[in-house]
Amino acid sequence: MTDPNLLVLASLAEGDKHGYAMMVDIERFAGVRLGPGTLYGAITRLEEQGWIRPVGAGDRRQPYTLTNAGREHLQEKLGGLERVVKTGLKRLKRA
Amino acid sequence: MKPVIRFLARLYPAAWRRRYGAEFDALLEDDPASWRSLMNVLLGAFKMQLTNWNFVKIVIATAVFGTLTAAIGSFAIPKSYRSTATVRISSSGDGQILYHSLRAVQQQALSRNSLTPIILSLSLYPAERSRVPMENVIERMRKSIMVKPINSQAFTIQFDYTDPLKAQQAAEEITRALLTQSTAIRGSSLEVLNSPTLPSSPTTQNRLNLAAWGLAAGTAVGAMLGLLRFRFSRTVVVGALIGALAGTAGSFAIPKSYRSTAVIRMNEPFEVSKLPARGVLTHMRGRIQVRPIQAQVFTIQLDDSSPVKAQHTLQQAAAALLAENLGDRRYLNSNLVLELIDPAVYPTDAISPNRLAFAGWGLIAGIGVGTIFALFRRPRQAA
Repeated sequence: MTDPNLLVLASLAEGDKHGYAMMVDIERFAGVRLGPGTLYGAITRLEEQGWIRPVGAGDRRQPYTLTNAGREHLQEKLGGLERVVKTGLKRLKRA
Repeated sequence: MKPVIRFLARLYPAAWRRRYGAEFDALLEDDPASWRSLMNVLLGAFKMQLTNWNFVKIVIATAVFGTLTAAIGSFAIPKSYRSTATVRISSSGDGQILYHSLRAVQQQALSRNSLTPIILSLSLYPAERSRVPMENVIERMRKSIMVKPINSQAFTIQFDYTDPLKAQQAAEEITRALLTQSTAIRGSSLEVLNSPTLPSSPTTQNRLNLAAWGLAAGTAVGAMLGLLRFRFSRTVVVGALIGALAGTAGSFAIPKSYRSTAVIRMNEPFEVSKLPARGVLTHMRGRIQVRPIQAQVFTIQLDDSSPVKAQHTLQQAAAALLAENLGDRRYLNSNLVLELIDPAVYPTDAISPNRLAFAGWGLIAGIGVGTIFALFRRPRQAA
């Protein structure tokens, strides 16, 4: 699981975060260290899709939040992944 | 490193910088700087730019990318230190004779007999010595030794090595060997003007060379990427790529050839007709190539598909040639004396097929075919 878009969405599902907080959170829960270029590439794409948006521009560390569309997209993606994971695990148990 | 990364962040498109620049800079301040982050920002800028670039921008960016990648990659190469000595030639003789004599002395000073004790006493090239035969280590050392004339009366001896102190010590030994051999030059003498230096900083030539290659490769790749935007050029570029790939793949079908070389000196000016020709050279005509490299020094070379066979056969040929010479001296009262300066070298790299040349010819052929294809296709589409 190294898709930066999905990792950013999953990180924001917990709450609003700025870039560096997302980077640290993703490394903690997924064991993947996204580089600054990769992270902001994902943020740019996700904002263009309307799945995240900036909130409360207090200082230069701009936090982002999930939009409703982003939440739905994440649920749909994770649901698909869950089915794959469950099926794979079941088949492993049978084998 | 942070200032470099911050500079690279400026390579993002201006429109993107206006929207995300401040927060991206804030992230770079928080993120611990590393080579990985640096490459990541560089690649991120490259990808972001590719979405709306014109031809010139693509070429400039890939050239910058190629140069930086090569320059950064060059840091992975071990540092090399250069020790330099200056030697003066005092001579009362003819300049041409002096030149040839000096070349012969240089050949002798760089021979296996001279370099082997230096390598062993200073423990040079320990990693290489554990992997490859001594002949190859000597060859590697020879490539690191440069004898360059400054004017008609002085020249420099340079030696490059990864350790500055050992570079100096080895340069001292090489200079000493050269001076010892110089007693063979009649009517002239060598004098050390400047003893080998202890290099304080590594030579940067390799890094500059690599950066230049990165620039050239980046420019070429950028030009190809840029041309892919145009329909006509796309056909030509695809043709060129297919040609280059086909040329490279085709070169793998050709068996490799390895060349072993031995160096022999004679006590008279070189002429092929003077060589003993009863056996080995006549017998192996076509397989062994004899090439003069100096007035009295020549090489014998042999190519084979097996590096072991190339070396072994040439060893036998060199031994047979020297034995024939000995026989001639005994039974025919010949004055010619052959001396093996360097025995047959074990070739580590194949001399052919030259894959780069195959790829180059494939590239040219592909451009030609692609151009013809594009020219014929266009009118049909217009019709």
